[in-house]
Amino acid sequence: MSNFSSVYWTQFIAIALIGLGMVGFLIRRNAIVVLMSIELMLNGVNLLLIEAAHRSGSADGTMLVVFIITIAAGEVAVGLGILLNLYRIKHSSDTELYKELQG
Amino acid sequence: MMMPLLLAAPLIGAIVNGLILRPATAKRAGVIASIAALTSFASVMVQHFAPDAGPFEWTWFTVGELTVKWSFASDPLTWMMCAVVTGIGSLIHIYSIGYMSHEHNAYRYFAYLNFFLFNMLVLITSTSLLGMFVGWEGVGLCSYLLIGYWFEDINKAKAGMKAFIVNRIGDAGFLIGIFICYQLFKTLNFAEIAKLLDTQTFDVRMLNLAAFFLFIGAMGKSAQIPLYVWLPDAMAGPTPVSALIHAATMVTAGIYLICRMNGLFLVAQDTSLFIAIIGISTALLSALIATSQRDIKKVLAYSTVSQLGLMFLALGCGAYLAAIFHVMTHAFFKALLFLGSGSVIHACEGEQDIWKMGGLKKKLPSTFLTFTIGTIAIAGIPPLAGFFSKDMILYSALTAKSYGTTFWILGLLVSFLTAFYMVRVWALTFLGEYRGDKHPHESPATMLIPLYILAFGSIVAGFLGMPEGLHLLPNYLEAFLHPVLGPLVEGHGALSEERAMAVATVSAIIACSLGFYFYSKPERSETPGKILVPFKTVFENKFWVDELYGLVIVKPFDALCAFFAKFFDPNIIDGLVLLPSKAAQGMGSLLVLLQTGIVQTYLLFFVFGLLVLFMVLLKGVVL
Amino acid sequence: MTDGIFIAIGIFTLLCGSSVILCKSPVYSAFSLILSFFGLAGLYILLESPFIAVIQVLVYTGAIVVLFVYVVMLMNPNSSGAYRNWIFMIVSAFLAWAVSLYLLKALTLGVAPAVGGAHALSLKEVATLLFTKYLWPFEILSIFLVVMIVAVFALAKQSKETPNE
Repeated sequence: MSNFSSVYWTQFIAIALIGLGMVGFLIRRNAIVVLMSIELMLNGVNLLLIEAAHRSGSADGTMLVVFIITIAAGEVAVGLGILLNLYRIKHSSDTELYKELQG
Repeated sequence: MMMPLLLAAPLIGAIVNGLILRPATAKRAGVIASIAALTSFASVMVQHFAPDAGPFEWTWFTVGELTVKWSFASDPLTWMMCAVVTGIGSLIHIYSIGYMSHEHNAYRYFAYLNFFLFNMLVLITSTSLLGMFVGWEGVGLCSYLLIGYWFEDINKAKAGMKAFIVNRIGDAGFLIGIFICYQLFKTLNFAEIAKLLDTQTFDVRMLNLAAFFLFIGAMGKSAQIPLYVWLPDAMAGPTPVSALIHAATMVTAGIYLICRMNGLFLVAQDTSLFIAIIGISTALLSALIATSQRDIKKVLAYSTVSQLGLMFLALGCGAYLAAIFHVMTHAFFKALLFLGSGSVIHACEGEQDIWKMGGLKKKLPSTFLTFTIGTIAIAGIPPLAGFFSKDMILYSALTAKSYGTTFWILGLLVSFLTAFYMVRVWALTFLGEYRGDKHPHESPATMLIPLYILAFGSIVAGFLGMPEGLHLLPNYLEAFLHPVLGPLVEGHGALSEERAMAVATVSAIIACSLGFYFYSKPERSETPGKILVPFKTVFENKFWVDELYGLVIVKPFDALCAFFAKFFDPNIIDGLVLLPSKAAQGMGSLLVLLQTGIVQTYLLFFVFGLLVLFMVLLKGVVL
Repeated sequence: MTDGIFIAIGIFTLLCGSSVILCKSPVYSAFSLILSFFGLAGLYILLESPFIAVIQVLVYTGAIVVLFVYVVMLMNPNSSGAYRNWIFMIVSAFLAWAVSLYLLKALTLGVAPAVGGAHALSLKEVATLLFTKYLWPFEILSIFLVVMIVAVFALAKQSKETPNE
C-alpha cells in the first residue's frame, strides 16, 4: 500500500474534485446543490492533505483534516439555516430569484 | 519746485473736493477748485521767469531693458501748452461757479474738473510716451465722468459711454504705436527718440507704421474720421465741460502728440499724407453738417471737429508750428463761444434750440458782445486771432509737397462754410425778435468776466505769430518754439502768401455777408433750406454716420455677444465643465451592469481573480 | 493490485462527483454526494488514514448530508430548470479547467520524494496531538462550534418572527 508508484494520481483526483465543485457552484440554480458543491471542494482539499501526510510521514495533515471537517459541519448548519430563511421569504430555492442586491 | 506744484495743486484740489470736504454748494466747491487751478497757472508763469534746474524725475519701474521714469520737463512747447491749459482752465473753473450755482452737490463736478486738469498736465509734461499714455487715459476717464455728469438721464450716460468706448478704440491704436516705437527705438523717451531719429536710419515702412498707429490714437482723442462720432454726443455734459475738454484742451492732445513726435512724422511721409487727407475730409464733412444743426452746442461741436481737421491738415503737411498756433487761438475763441453759448442757455433756462431764440442782443448785451467777437475770430476776419492762424495753415497746405492746391481749395471751402454757419448761429440767436417763451436775463459776473478775458485773448493772440511777409511784427511763436518744432519751412506754392491771405479774407467776408443776408431776417431764414433741399436732409442727419456704425459694427457685435451668451456659454463651456461629472456618471451606469445581484456572478469574478492571482504568482508556468 | 483498486475507487469518486453537479433533482445530487464520500473514505483507507476515513463517514455522511436531505425535502424543486445559461457554463468550465491546471502545476513543482515512516494514526496518538501540539486550534474550534450553535438558534428564531406569506 505504501509503495504507491505515482503520487500524481491522488493529486489529480483531488484537483479534479476541486474543479468539479467549482463548476458546480457556478452553474447550478438550486441553492442547496451550490452548497453541496462547496462541500465537494472541501473534500478535494482533504484528500490533498491526507496524501501529503502520507507522503511525508508527519501527522500535521491528518490533524488539519480533522479541523476542516469540524468547520465544514458548522458551516453547513449555518448555511442551511440562512437558506431556509430565504426560502420562507421567496418561496423558492432558485438563485436566479435572489436578486435584492441588483443595481 | 514749480513743476511738482503745478501737478500737485489740481490733484489736491480734486481730493479735497471729492473725498475730504465734499461741500454742498457750488460756490464753496468752485472756490476750492478755482484756487487749485489758479495755483497751477501761477506756477506756470513763475516757471517761465525762474525755470527749474532740470527735469523732475522719479523712476517708476524697470522691466528688463525698459526703464520708465515719471519725469516732467518744461521745454517751450510744454510750457506753452501748460499756459493755455491752466489759463483757460482757470477761467472755466471760475465760470463754472456761476453756471453750476443751481446744482446740488456740485463738489463732484469740481473734483472731476480738477482731476481732469491734473491728468491733462501729466499728459503734457511727461517726457516719455508711456507717461503721456497715463495722462491720455486719465483725461479719457475724466471726459467720461464729466459728459455723463447728469447720469440720471440715460441718454446723457450713454453719451458718456460712447465717448469712452470710441476713445478706447483710439487708445488701442496708440498702444500698438507705442509697442512699435519701443521695438524700433528701444526707448520711449521723447528726447532719446528724437536723437535716434537724427543719427540712425530706420526702415521707412516701420516708421510709417508706427506713425500710423500713433495717429489712430490721435484720431480717437481729437475726433477725426472715423472716430469723431463721440464729440457731438458729448454735448450732453455741462457747457463749461464742453468748453474745457472739447474745445480747448483734451481734443488737442492728439495734435500735441504728433508735434512731440514731429521727428517721426517728418520722416513718415506716407502717413503724413494720410493724416492730411483725413484732416481735410473731417473738416469738410463736419462743416457741412454744422450748417443745418438746430442745437447751438451741436453747431459748436461740429465746428470744433472741423477746426481740428484743419489742424491735422497742417500736421499732415509738416507745418507743426501752424497747428500749434491754431491750437492756441482756437482755444481762446472756441472756449469763448462755448462759454457764451452756456451763458445763453443759462439765460434761456435750458433751451438750446436756436430757432427758439432770437433778439437776445438787447437782453444779454455782454454775452452778445463777446459772442460777436468770437464769431468774427472764428470766421477768419483780420486782424482777429483766427485769421492769422488759419492763414498759416492754409498757406502751409498750399505749399505742401503734394496735392497742395487741392488742399488749399478745400481748406478755403471749409473756411467759407465756417464763416457761414457761425454767422447763421449768431444771427438766429441774437438778432431779430425773441421767438421763445422763457424770460432771458443776463448772467452773473462770475460768468461774464471769463468771457471778457477770452474775448481779449481772441483779439490779440493772433499777433504772436504773424507771418514774416507782412513785416509788421516778428513771429514770436516761431522763435519761441523753434528748439522743439524746427523752423517754419518756407515752401513754394501756386500763390504767394499775400495773395493767399487776400483770397481767404475775401471769401470770409463773402460768407459772412451771405449768412447775414439770409438769417438776419426771419422771412429769409428758410430760403437756404429750400434751395438745397436734398442736401439739407443729408446734412441734418449727419450723413447718417451714426446709423451706419450702428448697422455695420454694433449690430454684428451684439449678435456675436448674443451667440456667446446664449449658445456658446451654456452649451459648450458648461458642457466642458460638466463633462467629468457626466463621464463619471456614464462610467458608473456602465459598471452597474456588473452588479447583477446574483451571488454566482460574483463568485465567477472571484474565481477569475483567483486565476489571475495564480497567473501572477506562478509566472513562467505556461498553461 | 492496490494500484488498480486505487484507480477504480478514484474513478468512482469522480463519477459520483460529476453526478452531484449534473443531476437535475437535488435528492439525486445528495445521494451522489453520499456515494462520493464513501469513495473518498476508501481512498483515505488506502492512504493509511483509517481514523479520518471513519470520521468522514460519521460526520460527513452521517450528519451533514442528512441535514442536506432534510432541507431538500422542505423545499420545492425549481420549476424553471436546473442550470444557468450557457455562457455561464462555458465560462465556468474554462475557468475551472484553468485553475485546476495551475493547481496541478503548482503542486507538482515541489514534490518531495516519499519518505518512509508513514503509519496509521491511532486514536491515542490523535488525542495526544490534539492536546499538545494542536491545543490552540482545538480550543478555538470549540468556541467556534458554540458560536455556530448560537447562530443557528438566532436564525431559527428569526424565521419565527418574520410573518408567513
